[in-house]
Amino acid sequence: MVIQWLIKPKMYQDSVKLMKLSAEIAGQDGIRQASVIMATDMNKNTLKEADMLVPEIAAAGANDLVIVIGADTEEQAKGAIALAENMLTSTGGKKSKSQEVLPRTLESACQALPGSNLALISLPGCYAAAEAMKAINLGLNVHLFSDNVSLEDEIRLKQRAAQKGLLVMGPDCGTAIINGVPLAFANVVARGKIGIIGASGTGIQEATVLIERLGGGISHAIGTGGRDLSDAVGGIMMLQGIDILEKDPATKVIMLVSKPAGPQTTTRILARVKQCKKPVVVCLIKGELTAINESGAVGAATLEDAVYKAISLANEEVAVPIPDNYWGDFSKEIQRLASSLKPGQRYLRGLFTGGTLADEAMIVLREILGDVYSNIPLRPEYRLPSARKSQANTVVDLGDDEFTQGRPHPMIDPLPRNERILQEFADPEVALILCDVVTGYGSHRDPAGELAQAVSKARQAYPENNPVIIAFVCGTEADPQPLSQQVEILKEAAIIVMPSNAAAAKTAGKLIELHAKQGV
Amino acid sequence: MQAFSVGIGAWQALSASFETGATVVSVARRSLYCQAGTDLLCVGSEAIERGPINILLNDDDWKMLRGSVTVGTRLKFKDNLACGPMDINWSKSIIFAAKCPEATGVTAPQANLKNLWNLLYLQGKGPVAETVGYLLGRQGLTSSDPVMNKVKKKIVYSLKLLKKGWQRPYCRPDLAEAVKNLLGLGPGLTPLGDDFLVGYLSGLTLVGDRNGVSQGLRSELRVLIIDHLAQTNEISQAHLRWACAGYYTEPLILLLTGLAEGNQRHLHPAIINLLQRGATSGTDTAAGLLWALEHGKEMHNGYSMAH
Repeated sequence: MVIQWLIKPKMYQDSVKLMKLSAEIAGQDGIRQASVIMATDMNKNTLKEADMLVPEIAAAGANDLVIVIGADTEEQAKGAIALAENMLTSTGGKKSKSQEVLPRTLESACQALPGSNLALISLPGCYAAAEAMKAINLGLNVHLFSDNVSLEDEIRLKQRAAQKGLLVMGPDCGTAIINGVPLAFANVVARGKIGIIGASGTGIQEATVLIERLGGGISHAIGTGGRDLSDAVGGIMMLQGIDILEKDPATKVIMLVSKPAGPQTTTRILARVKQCKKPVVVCLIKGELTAINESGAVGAATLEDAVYKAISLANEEVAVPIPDNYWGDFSKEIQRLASSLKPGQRYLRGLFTGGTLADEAMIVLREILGDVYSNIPLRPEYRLPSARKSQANTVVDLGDDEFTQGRPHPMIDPLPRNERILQEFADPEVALILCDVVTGYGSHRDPAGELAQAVSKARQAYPENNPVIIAFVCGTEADPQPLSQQVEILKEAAIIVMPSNAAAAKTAGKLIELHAKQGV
Repeated sequence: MQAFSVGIGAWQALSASFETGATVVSVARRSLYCQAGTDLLCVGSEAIERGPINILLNDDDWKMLRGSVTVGTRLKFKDNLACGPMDINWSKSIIFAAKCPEATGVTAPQANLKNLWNLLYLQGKGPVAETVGYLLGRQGLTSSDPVMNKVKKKIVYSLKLLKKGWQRPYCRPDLAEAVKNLLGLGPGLTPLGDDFLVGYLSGLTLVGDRNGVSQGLRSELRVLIIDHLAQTNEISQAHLRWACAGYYTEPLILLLTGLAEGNQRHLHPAIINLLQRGATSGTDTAAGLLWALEHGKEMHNGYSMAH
């Protein structure tokens, strides 16, 4: 092994930078050892014990920063030292190419990119509405990622956009796919015949992912923002989206995804659906199907069912409900898992990062176990007194405002769920933990790895309690976090991976049901 | 520009060097160190949080200052408003001088040590967290990094010596050996062994036990640390000196206060906040604190870990 070193007298860099430097060097080809430390007596002694102390470092003082590299070749060692020197003297600023001039206004951006027709706006809410209005006046469709835009501003923006035949996707619109381009939190899915309009970010994500998994594809996925279907806004963008997709030659089937709408808006939407020349599948999570079916649309209680029906229609077949065991018969697996539980382990805990995924799981679970407690319950009497503490069977939406104020969404930073997993493991009555893993653009770079690590640590912390873990990966092979790799990571951590969110919830519910029967 | 917090140590150093100011000796992304007489001060953005030697500026002022100084620049500090654009203004009303609550007899049920250890193990980073995992029987000790393996072995050795200090009260040779092994040990601007000792000292301050062992140990430990300060770098020396006097950084004070009050609701965010400090400094400090509480708990229950 070749040893090279660098001594920086009296250089005080913060520890985070030193750690990054150390990790960067250690990742270079041929580097066997990289130590970035202050030359204290104790550290010099440690280097000596590891046969890495050279006389120059031995002579350095406690206030000197030293970098010691052990590499296979001299060239590799010198390269690592040069990299370290460069990183230590770098100011961290990004160089811009002289040819690239970033536009400072929407007008100059439109001039720089003639023909552009969409602006993605992500600003603090108090500034976002004004910029969105400028974009509409410039003839641009708007993806308004920002939240905290007032209801009055939302209505004003959407009315103005509708007059001009434009879309305002948002505010608080997390997901859209336009002409195959994922915007904000979205998965990389195949193009195809199904156009989606949704008032739910993870709802759109799961729908697009399942469509690809079942062999279909997406023409466009238009987000409307969660308030669009309230009676105050009146579904302006849902209606505008139907108009656009009805005219779009690539779209053969339209799929609407939302939580229940305001009653007047529901009537307006279903009246418009009745007039639509293309088949429409409507999935109003938590909503009633009767009015939908009466409108001539195809109703679906779950996203999985909606996707199955939409694909049938896109293939010019009759829309029938998804078969009970479409993904396979998991009864033996359920029996095996139930037999691994102790009699006192009785409850299910669903820890979701996607609100609509939590909703869908609760709908499925209600059919098997009855209502479950939640911070976003199906019925108000099942609201948790505190979202931070589970009781009996519980499903929690960890992306709800209560958990995300002042911190990133758990799809970006899994820390809140990691903590909650530990909390649930501490409860000896917990039999099963149900989780979603959402990949795609915007999400954490390795959500499955985070979940696996959290479960592993919780198992070590509470080896006497070992609840079953069931997960569903909302993602595709083409995502930045490839599906197969994410699934593999979970399986290696002895986490049961199901092919859909509804299938995961169903398996979980049946397992709890079976174990309860066996216990009796 | 207006500082909004000046640590007790920084204030003391500035009081002695108004005329000469302080010379910048190192500049990093979030803070710079400067020499005022024989003392080191840390001037930085809000992100570094309050501490005995820290002077905090709002983010805009910090960016302006950082963009205009290099090593060797002379900074001026004034305690009135008549200062130049690059001078740092401060007043006595913003001095941060929070001390650890004195021996309150924190016991296991109050502190819920198991949960705190779990959080440290789950959220903590670096060799100390891994060593704690090993000592708690949750993971192996060795990794592919031979230097880090040596560091971890020294941590294990030192932690066991600290235990012995409780088994045989006032056992100075064991304590001295632990201090000598920890001071200046490991990676980090403030080496991890130093951060661990700061945490351990704070824990001893908090623990009240039946026969006063913890307070005797604290006195012994303070003397030993001061005696061996030269083993570590000047920045760490400054932190340790003030820790020996009972003054700590804000994240640690918040956790100590939560423990002293037995307020479970405050404990969780307080330890998470501490664990997020620095690369591993927060983890190392928290580990030292919990190690002291663990020993205190065992003494309170009438037995020694060594048995």
